Amino acid sequence: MANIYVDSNATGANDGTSWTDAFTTLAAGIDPVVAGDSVWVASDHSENSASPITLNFTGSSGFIPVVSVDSASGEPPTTLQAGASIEVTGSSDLTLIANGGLPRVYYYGFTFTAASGDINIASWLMQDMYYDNCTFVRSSIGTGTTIIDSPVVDYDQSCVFTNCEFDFGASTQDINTHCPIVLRGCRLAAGSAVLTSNVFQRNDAGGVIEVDGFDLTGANTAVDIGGTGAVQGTYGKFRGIGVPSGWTGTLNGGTQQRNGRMNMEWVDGSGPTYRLWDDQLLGEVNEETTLVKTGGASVSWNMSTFGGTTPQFPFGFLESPEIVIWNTTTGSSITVEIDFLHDSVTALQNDEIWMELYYMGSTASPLSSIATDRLANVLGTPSNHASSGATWTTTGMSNPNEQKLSVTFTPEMVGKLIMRVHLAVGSYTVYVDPIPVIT
Amino acid sequence: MANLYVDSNATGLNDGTSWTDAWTSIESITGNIAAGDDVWIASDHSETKTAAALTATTATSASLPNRLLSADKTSGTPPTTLQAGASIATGSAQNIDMIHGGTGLLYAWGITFDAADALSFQNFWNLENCELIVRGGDQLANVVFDGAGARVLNCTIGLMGSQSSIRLEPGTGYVEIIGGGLLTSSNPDTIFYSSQVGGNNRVLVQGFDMSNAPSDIDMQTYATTGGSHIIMRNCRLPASWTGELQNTHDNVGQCTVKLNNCDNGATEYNSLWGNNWGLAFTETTIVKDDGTSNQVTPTSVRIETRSGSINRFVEYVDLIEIPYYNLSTGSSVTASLDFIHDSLTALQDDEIWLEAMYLSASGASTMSLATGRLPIIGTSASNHASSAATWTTTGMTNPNEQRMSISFTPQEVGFFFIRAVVCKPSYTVYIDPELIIS
Repeated sequence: MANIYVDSNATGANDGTSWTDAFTTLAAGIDPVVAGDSVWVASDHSENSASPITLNFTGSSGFIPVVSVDSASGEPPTTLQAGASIEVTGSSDLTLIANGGLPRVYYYGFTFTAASGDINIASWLMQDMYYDNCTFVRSSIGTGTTIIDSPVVDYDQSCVFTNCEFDFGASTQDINTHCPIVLRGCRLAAGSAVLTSNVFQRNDAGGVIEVDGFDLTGANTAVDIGGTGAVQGTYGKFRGIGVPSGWTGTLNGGTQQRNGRMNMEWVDGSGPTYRLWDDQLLGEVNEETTLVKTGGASVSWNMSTFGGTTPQFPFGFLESPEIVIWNTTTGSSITVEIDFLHDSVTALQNDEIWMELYYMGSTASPLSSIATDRLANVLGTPSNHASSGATWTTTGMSNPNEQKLSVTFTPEMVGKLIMRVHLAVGSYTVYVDPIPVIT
Repeated sequence: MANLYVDSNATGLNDGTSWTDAWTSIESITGNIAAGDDVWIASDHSETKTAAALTATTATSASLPNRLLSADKTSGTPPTTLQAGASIATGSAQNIDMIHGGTGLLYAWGITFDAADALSFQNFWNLENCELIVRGGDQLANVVFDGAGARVLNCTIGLMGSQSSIRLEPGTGYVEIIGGGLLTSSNPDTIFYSSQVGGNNRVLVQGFDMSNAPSDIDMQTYATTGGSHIIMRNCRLPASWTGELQNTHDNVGQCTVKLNNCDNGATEYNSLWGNNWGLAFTETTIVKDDGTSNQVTPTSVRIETRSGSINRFVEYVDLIEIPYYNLSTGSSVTASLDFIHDSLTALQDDEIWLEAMYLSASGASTMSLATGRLPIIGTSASNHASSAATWTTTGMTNPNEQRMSISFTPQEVGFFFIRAVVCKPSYTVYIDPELIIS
């Protein structure tokens, strides 16, 4: 339970036992750390090295705070004060790592700076790293492309950033992830280079990015959220992102890979108009405000498939978000219909678009059953979905075709009905009203 | 775009060109299948390989998939009737490795994969109406999804060994299991296993019947390096289930398991969520008067934290997020939740607090984080306010009604999201999840 002090201005014994005798480098300060210790770093601590710096926590298990504080506030300190600075110059890397034991490291108030090298955040065995009120700086345009990189391919590590700031030195740099990361309430620094390429680049299958609140208003209007490094199976979820006014970028700058998915809500450049964007291998789902059903939701879902990977019935499809409604009817049949609109005189069939609905079909347990209006199997004969009597705004359409999906089933317990629409037509667009009609 | 045939009963040329000349093993597709080809497997096909592992590799492209379909061979060439039943098996502790070669999409229907040891599906498989069985007795005798996830629709999964499980390899990504259930006599001690240096995958299980499992089955086991995020909805549990959401709690990782309306009997709607540091339950006894209801029964959320060292900065239970559509801008909003616990000692802001994600910038959709968490130094912990709310307090000795609040200033109309966070070890608190806005 030791208090360990770090201050580059200290001139005493440099054994870390007090502010006077503080270690003068953070690497020296964390070397003796064990769980239960606290590492206090003076807010005017500033270390600068042309050689690589590696801050490695080894052999310790449990919570380890590494905190920038006002050194004038006592021993141990009583006042948080951001500002402690760790910097490497030239092409050297700054590496923040936990290698061994099971430390849970919490950094507060640091500025980590690299010039043309990378800031590597890596660990070996699932030692989570937490960064609170920290700033990450790439001070040079350099030749590198990243501000954060995890060169050790380790899917387990998890990095959580809260209220952190990212200051890029070049417009093509990004946050490059090999591992699950969570960012909450973060932002581009005021003086950051204007990102023009992408903000995040995802590497290695299974990389997960969850971003909850990120101010990107200082980026270029064409910046993409996700980069081209996406590989199969990656997953991204974004909410409350402040994109530049007039933003024209994409959610996923590269081609989405198999089973990859990027989802964004509450993102807009002109104010917080609710906006949905779901990017999948076969297409994307966006919110539509013009082509909407009269008397339906005030918006519809624009489901558009790409021209890349060809959709396949029944296993390659673009999937809508879930529609969830509470059902109180039990023991008797109900019908759920979902209206949709598309621009063709040719009706869509049940191997091209269908609904998959989960309901509680047993009185014995809440085990759900599946109701679907899809073609039974790959050898079946497709049939048209029924026409709908619904009225839609059809601005710009040549051959508006209103149809509906429909399933009939008997719920046996009160509870949720959960449904999804699957679209398996290549290079096609349908508009789905997300409020189902129940009879 | 060829039709290829597999039938263990075929006695012709065995070149895969017809039912008569069908290959007698699925392994023959390796190197012979092209993108766009369909593999028709006779529903009475039955092969068991014992000398070595059985391996089959497909060859898809972005525009041309492969389909492996169990069919009634009497229905023609190519067949016109699907018929489940084709059996691909190994003996003598051999694995089955089904490898998705190529960059496109792959689909298998109606096939029984019966492995004497492990059964792996690599690089994104779509499986429908199949049986996936592993019979090995060791920890590696798993149904393995590796590479890019899988979609498993209406399949029966047989985990016959006590150490068998559905194994999620590192980087599996996203797995969906929709419908289906465990095979009779399945005997696993855990459903999912996130492997060494693995995990952090996303899994959705909807309507999976686990009533055949042992009553003490756990939902997830993971190596010391962390687990996956698993959501299980409307699944049937074994009778008198006593298992755990996660049977490893080494305080690392961000893994969670959420059971949503899962039970064995016809109980009312309920949830059970857990992460490394605690559990959150749907509570129907200790509830706030005029508080939340699931439209059937009054409810609260009961949070039970685990024992041992937990820390408010890195280890906590934060399983509740409550959305609220806010119309007030430019002035402070206070969001509060009532809670109750069984102690004369009030809970403080280093033990339980609220966090908010809210629209913080005028003219933009940027959300910011506001937290009621006590800073690491500089401020003494303080009690949350008492609450005048009345609760049903059955079984409590010293019911203590309190209210936690957080204030922030939204700059735009829209949703904000409130999270309740608990980090007092070995403690139980009941939270009414209906926000109080002032």
